[in-house]
Amino acid sequence: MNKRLNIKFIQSFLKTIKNKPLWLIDNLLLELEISEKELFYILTIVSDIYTTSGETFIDYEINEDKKEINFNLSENVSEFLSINDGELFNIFFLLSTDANLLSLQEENKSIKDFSNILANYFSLESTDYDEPLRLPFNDQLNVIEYIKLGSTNSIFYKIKPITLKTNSDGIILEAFDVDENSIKSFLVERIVNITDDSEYLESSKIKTNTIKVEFDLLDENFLNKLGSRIYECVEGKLYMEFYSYENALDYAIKNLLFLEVAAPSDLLNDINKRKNNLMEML
Amino acid sequence: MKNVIKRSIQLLNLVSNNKTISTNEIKDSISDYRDLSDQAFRRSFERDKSLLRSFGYLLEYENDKWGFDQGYSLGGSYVFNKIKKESKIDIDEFIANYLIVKRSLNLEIEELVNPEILSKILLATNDKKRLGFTYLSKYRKVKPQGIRFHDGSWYLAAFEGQILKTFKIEYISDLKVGNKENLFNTTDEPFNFSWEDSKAFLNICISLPKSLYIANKSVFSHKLIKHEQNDEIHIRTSDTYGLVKFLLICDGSFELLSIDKPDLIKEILDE
Repeated sequence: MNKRLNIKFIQSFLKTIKNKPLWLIDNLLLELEISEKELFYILTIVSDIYTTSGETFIDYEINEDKKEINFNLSENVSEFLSINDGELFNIFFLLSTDANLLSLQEENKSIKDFSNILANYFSLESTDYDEPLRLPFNDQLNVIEYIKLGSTNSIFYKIKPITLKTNSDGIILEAFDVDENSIKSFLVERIVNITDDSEYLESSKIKTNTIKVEFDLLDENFLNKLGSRIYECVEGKLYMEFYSYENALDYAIKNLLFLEVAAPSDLLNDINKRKNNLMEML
Repeated sequence: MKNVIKRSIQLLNLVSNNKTISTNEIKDSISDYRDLSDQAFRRSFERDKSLLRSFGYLLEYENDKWGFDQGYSLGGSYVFNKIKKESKIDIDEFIANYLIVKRSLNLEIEELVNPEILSKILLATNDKKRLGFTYLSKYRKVKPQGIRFHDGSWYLAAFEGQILKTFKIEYISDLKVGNKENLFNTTDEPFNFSWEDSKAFLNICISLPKSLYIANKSVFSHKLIKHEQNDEIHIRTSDTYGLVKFLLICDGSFELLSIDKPDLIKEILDE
């Protein structure tokens, strides 16, 4: 099954059928973007649930001649339907920043009203997107020009976007790397261009090796900032592993007030060389 | 998987519409739990709770010593529940519009902000309740005002005493919402960072490929004064430490054209 069938999807499914109980099966599959097998998988789950008063949560009837499905929903479904704060917040943020959604509001008054309702509950400021944020990815193939952390060179990736997430580094695009046949994470702010196939060079990718770094810990409070990051700390020394040299370099520079590289010497020399270069320029 | 989804629906169904339900009622109402030993039920229930939490549905235990309805209720849908109660709003139309907007998005969006923290901030901001949390090892009590997005990070804007401060949400832990409502007023002031009011600015002009600037601009707080066609950028900042990091990262790819306070950078490099 391709579709991620989870509680969020079940909520979407219920929202879709609540106001329109009668569907042509093909139309419903299109609307939900699922296969017939997936639809029947969902139906076996939801039709096996009973409310506290003993009635079926959802009942359905299929007319095989007309290829129609008719839902009969318990009153509990209305109470059950909910949109959590995280989802509404994501949508409100994008309604205020995403170029596509800004134009949707101009075209459709009810979407504008929807956005105004949300504005009453979210007190949000954003300085990053004075101009609308453009995330012109589609669910097909995209070629992105990306600058990795710690690097000054662009690399091109042929990707199929999956989802946007956030972590301590910022907004992350999770995407399928077509050439390496694996899922990768890209920091949105480091995607410097979305381009066509002509500029794509598979050879621009360099295989990276993990690197272990020993730091002298300059400020013990820094350990509080490490969160879920894996590390070892012994007698003022901090040991960490990074997925590439560039990643380690980026981390060492960004935390130079708290950490000093002790080993490997290549990394230490690189940072010192950069400091000397800057000193000479001043 | 099928049973997990089924149990999740059953759990949400039990606590929907602001119901509070005891642990025993939960065990009795869900067939998968009913025949389990107490220990096995606990384990299974905790796993299901944590799964629901990962989707933003917060099953919370209310333990108010003065209250009658002790037990689990559903948190995490503060805004939707408020909207549902608004008599002027047609909730079916609201849901229909929500589905239209969702369909217009090219991608599925997940967790821009930790949903549990977000939900508590929204509740406290709208009901004007106090928030308490640990921030970088120090306990804070604040009056929340809103959320700010800046340079790829999310901040809580809140009054600590009389001073409006911004707290990086990533560093907030053990967040708790106070009981009392309407404790303060919210401000119309912009959620400024302290550095934005600073007069100790440093002005620098460098030549740097635009792509490198875009990829690394979030390393430091600054104002972009001008970006010329020939990749010349004029920047004003009081975040000297951040500027040093930015320049070290871009080593070999930029040319320094002018700087008005080079000593500030030298001081950091000499440390």
